[in-house]
Amino acid sequence: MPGREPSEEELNRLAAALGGLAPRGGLNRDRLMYLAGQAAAEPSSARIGRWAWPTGTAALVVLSATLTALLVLRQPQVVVRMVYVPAPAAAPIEATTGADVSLPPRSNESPSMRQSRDPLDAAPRDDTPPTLRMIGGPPRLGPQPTYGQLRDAVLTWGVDALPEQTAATGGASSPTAPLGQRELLKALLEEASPHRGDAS
Amino acid sequence: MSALGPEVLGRILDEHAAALVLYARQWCDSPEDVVQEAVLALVRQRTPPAEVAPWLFRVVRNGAIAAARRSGRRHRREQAVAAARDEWFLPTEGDGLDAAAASAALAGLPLEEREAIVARLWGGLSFDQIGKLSGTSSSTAHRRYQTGLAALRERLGVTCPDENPPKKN
Repeated sequence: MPGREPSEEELNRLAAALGGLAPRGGLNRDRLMYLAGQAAAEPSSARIGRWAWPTGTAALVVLSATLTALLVLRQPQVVVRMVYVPAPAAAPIEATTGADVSLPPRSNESPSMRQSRDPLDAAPRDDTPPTLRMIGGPPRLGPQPTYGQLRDAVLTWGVDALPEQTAATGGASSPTAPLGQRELLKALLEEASPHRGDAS
Repeated sequence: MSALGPEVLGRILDEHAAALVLYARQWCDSPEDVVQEAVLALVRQRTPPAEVAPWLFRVVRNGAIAAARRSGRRHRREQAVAAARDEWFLPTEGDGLDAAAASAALAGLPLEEREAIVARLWGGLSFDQIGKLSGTSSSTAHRRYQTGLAALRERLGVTCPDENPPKKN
C-alpha cells in the first residue's frame, strides 16, 4: 500500500527500530583522549606564540613602508650653520730670521697696546690664536732687515710694514748712507775738480 | 588548560562519537579526522559551550563540508556513498533491522533528509537544534525528518498493518 500516508505511530516505530542500529564509530578513543590531554595541556602562550612572528613581521613591514614613504616624500630641509674655521697660522717672521724684529713705537700708542701688538711679546702667550695675534699689527723690523724679512712683511701687512723712511734716512750723515742721483752727481763733480770749489 | 575534565570528555565521546562520525560521513570520506579535530577544538575552548552536543555537531558539519571541498571529490563521494553504506552501522543480531539494508535505504535519501534523520535519531538533537544546524526552521527540519522516514519505510519494505483488512469468507 504505497499510496497510504504512514501514521505518526508507524513512523515512531520505524524510528525506534532505526535508532537501535549502532553507528560504526571508527574512532580510536584512547588516542583521542591522549590528544585531547595534550591539547588541554598546551599553554595559551604557545597558541599566542604562533601569531607572534607573523604579527611582528607584518608590523615591521608596515613600519618600513611608512618610513620609506616619509623618506621619499619629505621636502629637503636646508640648515644654515655658522662654522668658524681657524686660519692656518702664518710662519712667524721672527722664527725665520732670528733677527731682532721690532717696530718703532708709535706716538699715540699706549704701552699696553704696544705690548699687545708686539709679536715677540705675544709669543709666549699662546692662549691667543695665531690669527688674532697677527691682527695686532705689522711686526717690527730691525734696522737692517733682510730681503726675506721685508718680503714677508710686505706680503703679510702691505707697504705699511716697511720701516719708516726716517729710520732709513736718519743716518744720512753716515758714510755708508746711499745718496740721490743729484747729490751723487754733485759729489762726483766736486771730487773731479777739487779746486773748482775753491775758485768759486 | 581545558575546562572539560577527562571524565566529562570521556562521557561525551561515549555518547556522541559514533553519531558524529556517522553525521560527518554524509559529506566526506574521512569522518574520523573531522570528528577528532572537532573534539580537540572543544578541548581548547577556555569556556565550554552551553550545549556541547549541538556545538560538536555544528563543528563537525562545517569541518566535513570543508574537507569535502578540499578533497574535490564531493560529486564522486555522492556516488560512492552507496558502495560504502555497509560501513555505516554495526551488524545487527536478532530481530532488528538489517544494518546493510538500513544503510542502503538511508544512503538513497536526499542529503537534507539524511542529515535530519541522523541528527535526530543518533545525535539526539531537537528539531529546533537541527534547524539551527542546517540553517532552516524547526518546522522545516521536522518536515524533512518525516519525509525521510516515510521514504525509508517504503525502501525498507516495512508494511503497515492494514487498518481495514478484507474479511475472509
